[in-house]
Amino acid sequence: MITTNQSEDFELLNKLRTGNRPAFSAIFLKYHSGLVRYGKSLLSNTNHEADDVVQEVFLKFWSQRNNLIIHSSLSAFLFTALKNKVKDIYREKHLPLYDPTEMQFNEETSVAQSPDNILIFKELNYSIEEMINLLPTKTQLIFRMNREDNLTYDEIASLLNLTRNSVKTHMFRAIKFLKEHYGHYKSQL
Amino acid sequence: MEEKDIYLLITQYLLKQTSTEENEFLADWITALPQNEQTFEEIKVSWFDVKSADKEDSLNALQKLNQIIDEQEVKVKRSNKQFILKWTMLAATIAIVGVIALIVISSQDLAPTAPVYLQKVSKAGEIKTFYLVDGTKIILGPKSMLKYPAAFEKHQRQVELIGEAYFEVSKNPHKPFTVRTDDLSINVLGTHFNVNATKNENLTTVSLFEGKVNVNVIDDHDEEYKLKPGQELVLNRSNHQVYQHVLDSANVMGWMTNTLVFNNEKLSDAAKKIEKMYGVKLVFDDESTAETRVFARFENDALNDVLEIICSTGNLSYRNDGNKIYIMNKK
Repeated sequence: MITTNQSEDFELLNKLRTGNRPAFSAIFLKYHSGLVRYGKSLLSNTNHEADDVVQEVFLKFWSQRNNLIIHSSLSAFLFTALKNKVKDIYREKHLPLYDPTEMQFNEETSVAQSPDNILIFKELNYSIEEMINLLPTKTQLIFRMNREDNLTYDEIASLLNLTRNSVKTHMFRAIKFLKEHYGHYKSQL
Repeated sequence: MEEKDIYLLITQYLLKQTSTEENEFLADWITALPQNEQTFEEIKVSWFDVKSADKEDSLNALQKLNQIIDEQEVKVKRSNKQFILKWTMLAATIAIVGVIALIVISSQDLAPTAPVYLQKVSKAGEIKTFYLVDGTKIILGPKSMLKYPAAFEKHQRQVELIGEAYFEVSKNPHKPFTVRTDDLSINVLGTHFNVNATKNENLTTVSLFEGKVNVNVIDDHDEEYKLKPGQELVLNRSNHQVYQHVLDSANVMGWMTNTLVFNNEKLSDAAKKIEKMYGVKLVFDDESTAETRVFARFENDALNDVLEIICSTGNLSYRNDGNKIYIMNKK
């Protein structure tokens, strides 16, 4: 099944292969922030390392533009490239090989769960962005990977070493939370 | 169907990741019960409401990366030259005649390697005026980028634009001039026109003042639109509609003279122009504030005066917080 987003990426890739820089810029701007976010979740130190690694991924992506073989989607390709690059870094630094099952997620409880807080942010009319930030870290990352980076459940599952079902559960929790506390209020305005 | 499955189906539909059958199923489900439609609306609102739109970091990173790529491509070109030079010297020891032949060949080979690109970048509130090698004058608007070859190719002059710029193209019927944006390709021989392809705005606009231009919408089966002086072509990027109408020159050219013209514009649209000109960020209290209509004209006014006047006509007030300006409804 080909989706609209995939065919848009397909067009961009075709242009990229002919050395079209605007197509490169478009791809960059489309996926950069999502990649940086994912990179930060993989690298424990929060300074600019993630930014640098993402730059390297894009630089290689540009220089290899004639030899790109993409089996899945463009977004999955870029995210997987980043994951591999991060693994390389761990290897170079002789750090224990990165084990994604031990990803440094914060505790699973979140501010959003307390009823007091729900009341408070309802009254304050939080923006959707602020509402998303209230989700547990892992749920937030998965939700954004799906909504903003257009990755499928299967792709997210393999990037984060989770099962497809657990990705779906995180997505459901996020959607339900936002629907009830944000969508319900907004759609009545 | 369970609550979970339907929620996930709705968001997959909004992501355009669903099949035709799933779409039909969803359509049936929505119409089945009024509360289903309500659920759909609630999920849609939270899914589509403003995404973390701050692309500033990404734009900066892209500019940095573009510079690195440009430098690398120049290096590759140089090492090619050095390689050919060494080879030429070696050949010289073998036969002088060969050298002469080689110089001719290698000098011909050198010319068409990847052209060297230069770029001009402007910050918020900054306007840059410069000339290209062919005499074309370009005024680059705030927060924009123009990429152009250091030397033009034989039969064409091509530049790439992100943001807004005004072009006075020097006439050369044998070398058409092309401006490319993400979604348009604008071809001219010699003329005066303005292009606004600002990233965070939904519209790409080409405004023609003099001469003739042909505009091709990229991805649109190479459909070509011809513009006459005084006309404007507007492409809506989200629905790919193309409109042609008469331009308002004060509005189009305003950014060059630091003039802001708002003709019954939504405050949220006016805000984008203010942000670009003054390098600030405007934040609205709520949606009704952003929907306020603005009718005003400012010429080279201080930011505070602009805000003062907009707020006094719309029963609004504002608060300054560094680079951020909060605008709210007076209660």
